[in-house]
Amino acid sequence: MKQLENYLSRIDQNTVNTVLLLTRSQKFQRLLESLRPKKIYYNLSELAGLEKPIDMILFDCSCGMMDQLAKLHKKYMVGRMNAGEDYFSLWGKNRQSTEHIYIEQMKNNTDESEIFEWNKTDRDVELSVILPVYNVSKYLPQCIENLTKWKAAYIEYLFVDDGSTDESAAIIQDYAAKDIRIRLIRKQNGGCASARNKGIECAKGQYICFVDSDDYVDETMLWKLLKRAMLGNYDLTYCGYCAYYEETGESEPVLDDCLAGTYLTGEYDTDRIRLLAVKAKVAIWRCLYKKSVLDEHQIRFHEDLKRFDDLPFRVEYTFVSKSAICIPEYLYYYRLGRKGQDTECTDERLYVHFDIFNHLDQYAAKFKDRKMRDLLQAVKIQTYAYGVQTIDKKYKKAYAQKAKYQLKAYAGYWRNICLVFMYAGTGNLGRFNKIWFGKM
Amino acid sequence: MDREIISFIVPAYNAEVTLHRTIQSILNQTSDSYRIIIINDGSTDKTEEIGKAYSQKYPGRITYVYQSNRGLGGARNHGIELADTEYISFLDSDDWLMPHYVEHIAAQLEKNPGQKPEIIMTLPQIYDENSKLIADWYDQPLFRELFPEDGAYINPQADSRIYRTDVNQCRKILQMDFVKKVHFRFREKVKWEDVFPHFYLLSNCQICMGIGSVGFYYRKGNSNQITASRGKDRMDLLQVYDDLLTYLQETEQGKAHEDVMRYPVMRIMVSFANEGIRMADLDTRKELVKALYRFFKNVPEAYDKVLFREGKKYCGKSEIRQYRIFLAVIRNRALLPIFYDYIYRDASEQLVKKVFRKLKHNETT
Repeated sequence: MKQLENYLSRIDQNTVNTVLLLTRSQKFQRLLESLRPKKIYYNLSELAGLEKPIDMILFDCSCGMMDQLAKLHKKYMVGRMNAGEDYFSLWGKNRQSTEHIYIEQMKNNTDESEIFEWNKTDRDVELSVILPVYNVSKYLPQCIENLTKWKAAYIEYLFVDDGSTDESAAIIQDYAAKDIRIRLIRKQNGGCASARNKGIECAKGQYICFVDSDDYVDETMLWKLLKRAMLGNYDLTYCGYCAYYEETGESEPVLDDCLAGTYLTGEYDTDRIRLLAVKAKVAIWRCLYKKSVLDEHQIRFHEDLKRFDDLPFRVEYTFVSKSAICIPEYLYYYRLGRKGQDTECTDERLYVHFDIFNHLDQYAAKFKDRKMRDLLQAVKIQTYAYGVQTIDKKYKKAYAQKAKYQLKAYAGYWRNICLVFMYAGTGNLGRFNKIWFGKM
Repeated sequence: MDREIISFIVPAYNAEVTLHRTIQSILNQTSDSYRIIIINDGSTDKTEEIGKAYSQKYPGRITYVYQSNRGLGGARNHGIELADTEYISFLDSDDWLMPHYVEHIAAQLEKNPGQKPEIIMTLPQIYDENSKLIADWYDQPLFRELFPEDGAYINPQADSRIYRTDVNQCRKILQMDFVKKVHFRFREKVKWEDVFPHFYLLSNCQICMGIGSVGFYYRKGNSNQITASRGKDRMDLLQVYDDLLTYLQETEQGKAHEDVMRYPVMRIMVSFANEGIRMADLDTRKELVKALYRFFKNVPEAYDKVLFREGKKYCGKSEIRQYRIFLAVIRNRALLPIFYDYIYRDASEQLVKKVFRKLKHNETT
């Protein structure tokens, strides 16, 4: 109620002359006093002969007849909902006929609430799904079909063809002919990072999601993520994912520390959000991002990185997010066992790690924040620990030496040990010591 | 009522995004008994345009002036000089009011015309820009205890609890006669400009009225706010502390109240310093810690005892423990490096917690 009152007080008085009030509660009457509307209607049927559209609809929980409201044109739709009610479908039905929608919804089993605030823009797209495409014709149909099963008009699918040499483009064009939400953007081959960046430039949505075109998603994923993100205004919204083994056709959920605790009910504490940089697996494709945050901090993929370009993107974004929430369901299927995958490389290509942290060091330096730098160091430890374990024997020594040099540049042994204990995870202790003392 | 009773002093520094809403929320008032003074503190954006447009549209009601940058305190001082209503209220350019604000205050003042309060305390609410939720103000329970109903009076000279309220200046409406009587001005070009006036004004005030349900919104989560700045301005803290200690130990008025003000002053100084170091930039942290070391060496140890003794009554155990650690470290030159780098402190704290949790777990199973 506090929130509702506050929202109404921020509306310019002279803009609301007529109100349809769908509750008899005294409280709501009082809320309207400050707006001083000329006429208040209490029933939908009273509006029958009205010539001008109504300025505001103010409603209380479960007042029924919501379906009839969608046809009505109005400037404001403002109200309160109980925990179980579906704000998302109400918004979906009214988004074309309303300029501003504001809903205060109660949270389950608490007296807290969450806020949905939405203003119409001329862009009419809420969510842009960006898919880099490079020679994946074999997997495309399954990916596209699952993604597009949700028929909401306010989504766009941007397939960025990074100079494929197979029939990928033709397949997408076939689908695009049947579904106007699908767009094919073609460019010369420049790597996955450049394709994703191209997608961000072309995206019109407020929210952005990346899906790899050789993976596939649960058909409810986008719906669940968007519904979760918009109520409470979350900068970062994510779910869990499954590893899908192509050879056997089996899949299993990947356990992730970030799918627990306060992240489940919504986190607004920036310190704890930043912890996600070390707690969550990279997996950038099971998240919704806000376009406004990407633009404000100029977060893009680094095109000079040949692989693992998602790591710096993820870290940069988590460092500036002001709110985060997760859905504890496993809705994305990540294909394993395909040839040429990043995760399969075990040779000197892993040296790309050092370039990655070059970028990240520059990024973090801007903030002059010790805690952020500490977390970044912890990410470094995690990454180098992974690197030293995976890389082929003949490169191991040189890699470890370089890694140690990098780790040492920031802090001494004991400080690093503290970071291992606090952030990087004690599982990395042995590998860190290996790097530090050079005993392979 | 013929004459306007209250002037809103709105300092605006590069506030093109938020100024409109703040002014509009005043113009939306249900009562006409107010004026607005917008002080453009050397903005480089469109603040000038917006301010001028308002003053042309509402001549007589809205005054707009420009000054070269003097900081928030300087802008407010300028506003005090221009105001000629019975009361003044400071409003930062990202706060806003509920439509009944002025009406409420006018009604409460009329109820008891013989007893004009020198300070009117209000109870703001916090609007979080990220979650868009409204939270209660930090000292709400204490405020309700002091002022159980709207329009209740207390005499700060007789009730020292009032010093423990949050220091924010925008929540205090000041009587112009009172401001003149005590020659009150803000120190200019200093951040944390609210801290010293809080103690100065209250220790001089005889009648203070509280209005809780007035409708004042304070915005949180904006990166331009003072509380969010982490650089050189952090050093201003020392200037503020110096003023406080000098006032308490060397002026007539301050000495007279020293015994009741010791605890709230000490608590503010320690908690702000602790938080200040934590938030400070890497570049300024060392300098700040050293300066605080020099400052706290001069604070009499008797103050510490007051802090711990009184603190037991009013704040939680963990808070007091933090103050204890802070004071022990800041007074010891050899221990200062702990503050340059928090990781060792945090790590040991985490370790102790883990051990405790394990012990507890063993006990229960």
